[in-house]
Amino acid sequence: MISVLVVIAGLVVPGFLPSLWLTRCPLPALALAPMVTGLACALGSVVALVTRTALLPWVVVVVVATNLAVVLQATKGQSKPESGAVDADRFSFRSVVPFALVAAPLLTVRQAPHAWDARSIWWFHADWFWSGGDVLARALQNPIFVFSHPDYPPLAPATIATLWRLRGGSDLEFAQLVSAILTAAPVVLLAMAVGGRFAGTASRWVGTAASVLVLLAVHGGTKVMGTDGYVDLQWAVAFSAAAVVILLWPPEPRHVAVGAIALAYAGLTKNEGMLSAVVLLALAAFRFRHRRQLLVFPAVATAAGFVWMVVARMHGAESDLASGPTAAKWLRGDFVGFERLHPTLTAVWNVGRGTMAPAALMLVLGVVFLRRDRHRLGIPGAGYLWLAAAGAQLLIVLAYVISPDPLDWHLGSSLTRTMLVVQLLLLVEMVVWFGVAMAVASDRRLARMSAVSEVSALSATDR
Amino acid sequence: VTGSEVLRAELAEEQLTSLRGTVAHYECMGDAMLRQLPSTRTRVRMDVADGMWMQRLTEMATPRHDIVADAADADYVVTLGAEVGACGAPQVVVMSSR
Repeated sequence: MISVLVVIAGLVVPGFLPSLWLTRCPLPALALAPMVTGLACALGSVVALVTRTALLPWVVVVVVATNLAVVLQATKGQSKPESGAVDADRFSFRSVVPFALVAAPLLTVRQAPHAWDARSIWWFHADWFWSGGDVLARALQNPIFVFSHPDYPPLAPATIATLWRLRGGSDLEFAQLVSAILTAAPVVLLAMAVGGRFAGTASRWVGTAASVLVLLAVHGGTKVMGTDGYVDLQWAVAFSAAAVVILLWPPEPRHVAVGAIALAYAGLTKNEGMLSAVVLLALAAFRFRHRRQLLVFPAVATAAGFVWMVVARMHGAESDLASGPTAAKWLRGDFVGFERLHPTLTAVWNVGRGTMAPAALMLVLGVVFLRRDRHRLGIPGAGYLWLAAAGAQLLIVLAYVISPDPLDWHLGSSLTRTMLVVQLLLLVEMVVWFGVAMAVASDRRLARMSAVSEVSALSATDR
Repeated sequence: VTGSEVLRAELAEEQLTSLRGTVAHYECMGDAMLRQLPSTRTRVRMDVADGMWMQRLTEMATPRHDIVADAADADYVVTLGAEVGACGAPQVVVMSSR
């Protein structure tokens, strides 16, 4: 129980004030706070690595500086909800529904902490971060640790290491709990983001139903609980939340800032997130082509992942994909390895068809029957999330084509996890169409009720 | 195995039988290995061909010990012993000092 309290306090408290300042509402701030804390830990870890010093003091510096900046902004009187604030209706107290629903899958965190990648990558890296920047620097260039992908981004292990320091010791069950909360936070944010997009529709429950559908999609559609220490669901959900907020929400500074936090979170969690962020940045550039100042947020978020990549490379860490023989040939303009393309596409279809086929059907039905209603609700077109999914999918396929690993082994050991982001984006897009349909049905019902009451009123007047 | 000092970490047969195929097998062997190694920080070379064993023993020995790539730099070289239990799983980890 003490572990749970330490995890929740350690993850929520440092990031709560900045989150509250951005969202203006306590519940969504609760979901965003662990993500802000995670980003602070990641930033602190970069400084610890460069200076080869302990991690915790730098995390404290980042957290204090961030909170101080927010307090200064608030005391300057700039915290009043101006045009562009994340309004309470979008992130309303109905948001308690996602919190309640995310709690059930979290119970599986009580399983033994034995997942292979969690042990060999994420919690192993947390050991390095826990030991300090000097140990981390040696680990990044130690050829023995190549199996552990030392180049992988720091957010999850740095956050675990920070909380280990706060608790005064390292153990894997505690690490598993931290990993689970780091995944649950963007899950809740995604559910709120999709539900919040329907704020202002005639029926208040459309948004709540959309949130519930998203949660069912995450935990049912992907069949991944996210409580075993793997970070695939963590980055995929954060990326999806970023895509929804940046591409589908009204284009206001604070909305985009919240989306950028989720985008940086994805990019600093897994390499695929870092690369997929470029796709989202390109889509954001198109959407904000008339308000280019909004592009600053996703641009900074995208750059964050690349900062880690550069710093890790400077310290000797190498990516197995980028340093493999096929990638080297590609860099010389010799595009080989395409015999891996067909089996990769076949495997992708086998894993993704359960989502891709219904999403395509829903897209056709939506465009034919609901396009105008979607436009009337102010929700940008389906092309955004489909293009984000297509871009992420392209990067996934490319990774398998240039991978130095045997294809069957590589696909079999990872495709269900790497495809999560594509599946989630398409599932979310389906939920958006469903929400539009519900909103239309609700509007028609209200219109009928209004017409009936008008007729009744007229009849009463005639009498 | 060569070296001035040879340390052995061994699991009992009945323990091995109950652990076979589980992550706990790696953990018990790793724990036994760590108990044998000096409590002071040492440089360890993992001379373990099986990738799964190498990963888990490396993970368990870090960061208490430095894992080095070259046996010439190591204080101890860790190998999986030839002994296997009746179930066919490794039963012994050997640490030879240099």
